[in-house]
Amino acid sequence: MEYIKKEYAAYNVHIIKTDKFKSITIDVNFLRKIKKEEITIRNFLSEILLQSSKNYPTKRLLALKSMELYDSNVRSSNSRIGNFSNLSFNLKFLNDKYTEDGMFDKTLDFFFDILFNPNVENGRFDEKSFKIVNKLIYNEIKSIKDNLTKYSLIKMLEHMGKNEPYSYRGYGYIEDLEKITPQKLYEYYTGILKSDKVNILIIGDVDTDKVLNIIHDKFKINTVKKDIGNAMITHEKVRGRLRKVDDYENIIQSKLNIGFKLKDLSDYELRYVLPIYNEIFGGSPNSKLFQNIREKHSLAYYITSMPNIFDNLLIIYSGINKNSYDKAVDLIKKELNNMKKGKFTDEEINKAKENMLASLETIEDSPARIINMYYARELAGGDEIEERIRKVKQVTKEDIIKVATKLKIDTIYLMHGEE
Amino acid sequence: MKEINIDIVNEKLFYEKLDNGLEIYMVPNKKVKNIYATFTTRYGSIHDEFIPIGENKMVKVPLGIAHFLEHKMFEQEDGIDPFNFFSKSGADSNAHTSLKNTTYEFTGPNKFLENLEFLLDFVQHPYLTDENIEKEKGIIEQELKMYMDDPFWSMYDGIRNNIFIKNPTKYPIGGTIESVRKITKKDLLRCYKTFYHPSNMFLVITGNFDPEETIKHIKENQSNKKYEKLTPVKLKEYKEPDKVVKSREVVEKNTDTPKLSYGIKINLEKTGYKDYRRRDMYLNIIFDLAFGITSKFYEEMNSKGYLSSSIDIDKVYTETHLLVNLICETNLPNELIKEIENMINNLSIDECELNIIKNKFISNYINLFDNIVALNDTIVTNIIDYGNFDYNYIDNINSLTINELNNVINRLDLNNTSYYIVKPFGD
Repeated sequence: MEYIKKEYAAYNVHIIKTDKFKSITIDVNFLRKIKKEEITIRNFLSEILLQSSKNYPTKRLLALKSMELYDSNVRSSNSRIGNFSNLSFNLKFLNDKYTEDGMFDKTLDFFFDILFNPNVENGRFDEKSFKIVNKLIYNEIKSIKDNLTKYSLIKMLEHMGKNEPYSYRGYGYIEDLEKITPQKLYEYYTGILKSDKVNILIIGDVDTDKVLNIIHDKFKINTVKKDIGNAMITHEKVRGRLRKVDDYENIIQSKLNIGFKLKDLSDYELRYVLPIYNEIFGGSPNSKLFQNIREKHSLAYYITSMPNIFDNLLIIYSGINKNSYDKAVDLIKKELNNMKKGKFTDEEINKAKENMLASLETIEDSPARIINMYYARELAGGDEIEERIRKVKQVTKEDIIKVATKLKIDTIYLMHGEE
Repeated sequence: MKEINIDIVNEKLFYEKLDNGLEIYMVPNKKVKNIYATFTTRYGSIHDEFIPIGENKMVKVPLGIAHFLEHKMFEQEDGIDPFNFFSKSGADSNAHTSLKNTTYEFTGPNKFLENLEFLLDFVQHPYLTDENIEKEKGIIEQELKMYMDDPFWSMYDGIRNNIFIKNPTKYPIGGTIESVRKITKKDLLRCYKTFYHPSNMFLVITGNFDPEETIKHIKENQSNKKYEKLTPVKLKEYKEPDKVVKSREVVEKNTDTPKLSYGIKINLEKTGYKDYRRRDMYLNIIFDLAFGITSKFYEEMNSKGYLSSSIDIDKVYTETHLLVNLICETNLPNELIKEIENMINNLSIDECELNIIKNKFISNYINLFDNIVALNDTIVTNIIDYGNFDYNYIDNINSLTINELNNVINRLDLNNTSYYIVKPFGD
């Protein structure tokens, strides 16, 4: 595997050359500092570019074309990474070896056509496509309740920091949707091409020079990009006393979530110690939370803890009967204390490390994971795999206890189900 | 051991059947580091009436036993928790139950042979006590409640319940809270002994491993275990009528976006096929092209504003009937239902589109060989549905013709349908 990064004024190109895979994957990312009121329009844009293009003016024609190109499916997503909003277009297609000669060029043409030749007339997106996407986005925003785990989580985060990026709703907001017009959408689109940071990542058995030439030729972006600051969210202050929040929905199972804001964790602690802490505490079926709350006391089917390094947060989430609330909270607090007191064995530490090591060792099995790794390093730095393996192995029990003592509950959230 | 070449991708599938009846399928991939192994019994939620091993009368057991057993296998007599064992080498383990099978799995790049032996050992060694069974009921109850709160989940369960009259495909995979409460140690052991016999099970391994060495270990492991000879499990056969239970139901749920599930119950025998794989290829293509993202139907429904989401086309195959389930979100369910019915009565597929969709299937198949998890899962479902993996897939796909497809359409009886609407409370 060979990694080449080319930095240009308007964009960066990352090429990962490998003959491991039968496919080629290309990821184009547009990045800027997140603004709450821009989430909806970015979602809209990510959908409408795949709804139709100048050359394929309906979704049906676009989909038929991509099927004809051996299912060269273009996917798009708009997601938040810490302080950033990342609008991403992704294409995965088979190497010519398995299809027909010339497919590589045809497929890239198709992809860039979707990105740079949208279905626009007189500075406005096509009205028909606009209407369809508008409905889809409206429905998506409204459907947030359907996934109760996610919904209860976002409701808790809104209590933890209403104006903080980590509480923004990824599906967007109805009031912002109402302001979007075909014209404003096009203006936003041209704005993105002008000012978003662009990273293009390609992985597969490709000819590097040829790829670079195609990109220079097709990628019609030539403005110099400004620095957009740091992806990592930091918390100014953390609560001295925890807060309890109650919420009500017409549901059967109650959702119990607990949120922690992380403060004063070093980069090393965030990247290496915290994941190990989490594996032992609540991140796996061997963890203290799973073993106690589920296996021993059968209070829950799922109970998991998860750190988010970009957001400096740790979240516990679970589904319980409402009348188990006190017992579950007591048990969770007890396990938090046990972690602080160092009541975990070397075996537990080793298992957590082995898990992280296995995950690091297998990154290069998957094109998507390789791309994610390089892109995460582009956004937030970090070590290479070998160095990461070395550092994981070095984490000590004292390191974990030190992280444990830095964790303080910010919010306990309960979405009430039936009695 | 049999070696089968899969020419198009230059890969090999290894197959072996042991004396005790256990079958092993292996596709090595030296380009990746990880290994994925699954151990499957041909026993799922629908197998609730059968003649247990060593008995001679048909019995009916409470719903949800296959799923219950899946949970209980993770508790072992000597106190070694499988999750714990696998995690020592950084491997992940899991299991899942579906209508027709229960599958146990692990994935991890290290200590593969030890892990594989452990997979065999823990699945072949149940540890059931009255106490640990009672404890599990609380956990499963929470799991079922989680599904009951999920509007899509309740819709998938609802439509199957309204489409099937006798076939146990009609029931939720995990059973109901009431049926789970009734489950006893005797029920669990009876089902375990009958369905976890090696001759009712198979192993599928994909990733970076050596097939020769692996098969040697499996043989050794199995030769140490004693099993009585098993004649194929006698399952209850259902005379499933073509009719549906009811043609419509509307329920209210905690959601803000109304949803529709439109089910078509199709008698498979009337298609006249002996080659089920070929039959199903046609059926899948027909409905994907008629209602999917490339269809005129989908385009029109969007222009008319009848759809608020894409249409998911789910297919549930039973021995005698296919349920084609169209799932989407819509604010105008009644208008949409009319259009669907109109479309069903005028099904037609364009030859050009048939040829284009072949490219998609070919691409999906080749891509499988880059992804050890997707490949393994596909092999498992292929074995469950058709008895083996299709290594001639590309040739089979290319041999499909528009004439034959039209013949299939002409033989379809599309008159038995049912829809299920989920509405917000008080809407």
